[in-house]
Amino acid sequence: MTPPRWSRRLLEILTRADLRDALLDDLDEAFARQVAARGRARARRWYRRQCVRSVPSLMALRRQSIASSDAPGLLARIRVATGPAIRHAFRRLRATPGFTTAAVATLGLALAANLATFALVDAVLIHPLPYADADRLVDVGHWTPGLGQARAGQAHGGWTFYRRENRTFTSMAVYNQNMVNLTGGGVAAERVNISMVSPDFFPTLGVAPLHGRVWGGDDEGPHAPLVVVLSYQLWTRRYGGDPAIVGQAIEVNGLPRQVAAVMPAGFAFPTPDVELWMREGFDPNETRFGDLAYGSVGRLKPGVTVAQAEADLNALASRLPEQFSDVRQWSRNGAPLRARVEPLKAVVVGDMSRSLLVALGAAALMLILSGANVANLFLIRSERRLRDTGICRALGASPWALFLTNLAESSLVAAGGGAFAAVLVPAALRLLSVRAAQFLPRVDETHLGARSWIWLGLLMVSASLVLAAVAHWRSRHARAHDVGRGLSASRSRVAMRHTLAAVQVALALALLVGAGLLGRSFWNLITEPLGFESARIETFETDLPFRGYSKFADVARFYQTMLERVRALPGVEAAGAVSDLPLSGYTIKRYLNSDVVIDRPGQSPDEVRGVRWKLATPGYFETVRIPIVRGHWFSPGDRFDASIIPIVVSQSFARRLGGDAIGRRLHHVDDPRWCTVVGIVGNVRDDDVRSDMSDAVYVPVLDQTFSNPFNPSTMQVAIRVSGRPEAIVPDIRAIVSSIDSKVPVADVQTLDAIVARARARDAFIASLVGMTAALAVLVGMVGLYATFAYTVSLRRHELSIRVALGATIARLAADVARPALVLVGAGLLCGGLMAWLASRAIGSLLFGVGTHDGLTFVLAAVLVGGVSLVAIAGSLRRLRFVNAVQALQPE
Amino acid sequence: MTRRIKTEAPDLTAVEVRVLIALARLGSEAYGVAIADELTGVTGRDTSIAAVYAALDRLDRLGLATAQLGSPLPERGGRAKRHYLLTPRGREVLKREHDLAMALWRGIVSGTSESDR
Repeated sequence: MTPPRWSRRLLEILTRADLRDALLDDLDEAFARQVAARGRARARRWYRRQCVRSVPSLMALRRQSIASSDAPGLLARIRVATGPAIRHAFRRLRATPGFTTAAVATLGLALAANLATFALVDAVLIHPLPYADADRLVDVGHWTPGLGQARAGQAHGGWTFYRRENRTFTSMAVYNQNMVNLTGGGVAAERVNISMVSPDFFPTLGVAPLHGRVWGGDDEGPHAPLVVVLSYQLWTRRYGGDPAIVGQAIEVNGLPRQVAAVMPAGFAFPTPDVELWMREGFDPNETRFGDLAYGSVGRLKPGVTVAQAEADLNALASRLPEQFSDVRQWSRNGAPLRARVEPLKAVVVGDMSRSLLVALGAAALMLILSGANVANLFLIRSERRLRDTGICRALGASPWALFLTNLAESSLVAAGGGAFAAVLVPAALRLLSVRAAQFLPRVDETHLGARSWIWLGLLMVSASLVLAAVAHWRSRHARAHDVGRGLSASRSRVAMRHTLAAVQVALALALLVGAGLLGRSFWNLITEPLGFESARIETFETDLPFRGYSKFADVARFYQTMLERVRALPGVEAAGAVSDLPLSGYTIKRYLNSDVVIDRPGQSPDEVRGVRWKLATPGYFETVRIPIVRGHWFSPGDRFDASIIPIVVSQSFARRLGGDAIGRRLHHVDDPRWCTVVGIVGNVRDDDVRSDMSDAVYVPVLDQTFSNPFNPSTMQVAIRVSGRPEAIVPDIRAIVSSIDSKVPVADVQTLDAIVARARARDAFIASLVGMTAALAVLVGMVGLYATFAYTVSLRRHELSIRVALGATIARLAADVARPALVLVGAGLLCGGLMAWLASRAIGSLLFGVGTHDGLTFVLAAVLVGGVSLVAIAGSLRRLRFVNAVQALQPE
Repeated sequence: MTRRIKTEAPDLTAVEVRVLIALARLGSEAYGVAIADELTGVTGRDTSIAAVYAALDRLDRLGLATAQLGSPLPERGGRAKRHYLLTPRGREVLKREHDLAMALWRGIVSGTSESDR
């Protein structure tokens, strides 16, 4: 039975060293007795109470030791010097709980926003990748200037050639990704992401396995044994974390594969969802260049820069045509294939870096705004104390001592805000790493490390220094004769207060414009037609094992039978399957982008690149409601003339074909049989919600269809139901397993969820900046209210004299409101200008809305202006308390 | 009637006086927990052990009590209890405190008892 950990830790820190053991042992003994007498829960409560009540005594013990020691150290002397100031400040803050709460909460929220975004930026952008000497790792690939592809991958032939001839890399590995079925072992079949990797994959990354041994570069060649490496998650989930699995065989796609090793937790490359790695039997003497279908990672020699490596590989790339005859397909118009080398981290993080920096910028603006707000509170406070300060100075207090007093107060407020942030942020980050894992790379590595705490510390120190300086600036000229003076004059301090209030208005507007632009952009993304309907659709994926489904007709028959049974279920409106559902991410994984050769009567055929080549069953278009614009799609059991292979194309592709697309012929670049266009369907957004509608060719999966270059055995099934989509899942599993128990039902999710995930990144940044802006408007307006309410209370004496002389309240209100309105106007002007300049930074994140979108600017200005007016009107209500009698009272 | 009592002894807080009394009552058995228990038993309120140590530390500095380590105890991981003993000067101060309190209370207690009647 141990006492509460954090309480004990606190006592350990606070207790003087010579008494620490005795006191803690005594408390442990008393705690054990409490447990025996009153039970564990009450004993823990007792201990916590003891801890809280001990604090004053323990502080007293420390003071006694410093006061009595003969030669106190520097730290001790500082403590003696600052101790009274801190205690004094603490007491003063306690005396004004309203001020203290407002200041600590305002600063705390801003510090929390900064700490959280900094922790994200640190984990994603600053922290090196979790590999040995990670700064030497690079992504190697190509770009094809002639074909307009900015980022293309590596090809098999290219890899063997570069690896042999380069002078700047110590090693270079290639990989690609796929999905496989895991069966056997008496556990349900499962579909997992696998990466097929070259032998030097693990040595290049510099990662050692947890158990077993990963292969090295010497296990080469197409005949090396096929072995697999498990991820930590897969190992614990499916194989119970048993180290004895190493050396045993598991069933991958129905074939035995020996487990060579288990990787440590947290290792997942190239994508976070990879759970299995299999060595691919690459032939080091490959004579074909091949497709640019692989990812490649290289390790630079020490001291070599990315630019040097790229120059080295480009020198080799110019020699590629001598080595491989098929490399010419990647050049066009005299522009050859070029090599591309980028730091691996930049590739892993991708385009999230800008979103994160925008979030960090928004948090920084929020901090400045909160700082201005709290500074205003400090200013007001220091004015209230002007007489005290004047007396202190008259009695001989040095400016330094007065500054220390202010610094002690602002430090305590900053410390309170920091503590608030330190409590709030870890919980917020835990929530975030769960929610953002889908679209924010490396977010699972986020934790509050030393750098984050140092960042928080720096912000706290700067905040307390600035606040102390503001308060000190106000009181620096306080003189003894101020004691007898009124408070209502002084232009400079009014100007300072008003400037701070205007800064808040400006920053609130700037943030709101940013949030408005991102919000409108997100709205555009939501309302932008996707080309299909996702409501009430359940989807899942099946992969048919090679054994039993080697012929296209077998595959088609499986889907036909399954879909027929699914359609017969009550509540099912339509069902169909497709090789890759839009926005599911499978398009990229399966390399379904392909080239098409178009027949042009009377001319040589034309080759078109980057067309989606999809397989779809009857019923697919009805299910996801992709409209059939012209011609027709198929029904189950349709037969067609064996001499033509019928296909359906998307509208955008039909336009590229020119003229009347129906009846035109084309074929896949790897399959010379001609297909005939029999129908045209609507366009669909395939890659992501921002991308253009893609050119697509749909091949029907009917039992009569030709075999084509793509494996039709892996399909995604979509089912439209009348009720809740999730409710149908048990029936689906039953149907699939009754047809073939070896076929897994994987990746079950609604189409809505797929679409939401595709939009999640934009939703994330829009909501992050939106929340910051909402908070900014709130804080800014409270600040504005406080400023003018205080102005009214300061001018009460003057105003009451005017009331006594016959002025109406309306007249007074106009007088007070005029400078306020000027100030809000100035703030709006500056804020608008700031937003105008800063909105460029978020330009690349916007969709369908310009960085200088007039409507957003006007709406944001109207909103901030309106709320400002409400705040000013609220402060004018204080005029009700002004009356002629007050003119008789001393100020 | 009041009697003047010479107090050369330092000013002690109420807690310090109580701890001094507890030291006298417990004799050689006095250490943090025992003293806290003793005070809790008398006052009826839970006493903070740290407050007891703060008082003991001051009494130690004033030469009224002295700390002594007992024999190592296995249940404390081989560490010893820190016992406190009253010094002769401590005993003297306690006596004075007692006399002072008696002198102070004498008139008041009789006064209240009279008015109660």
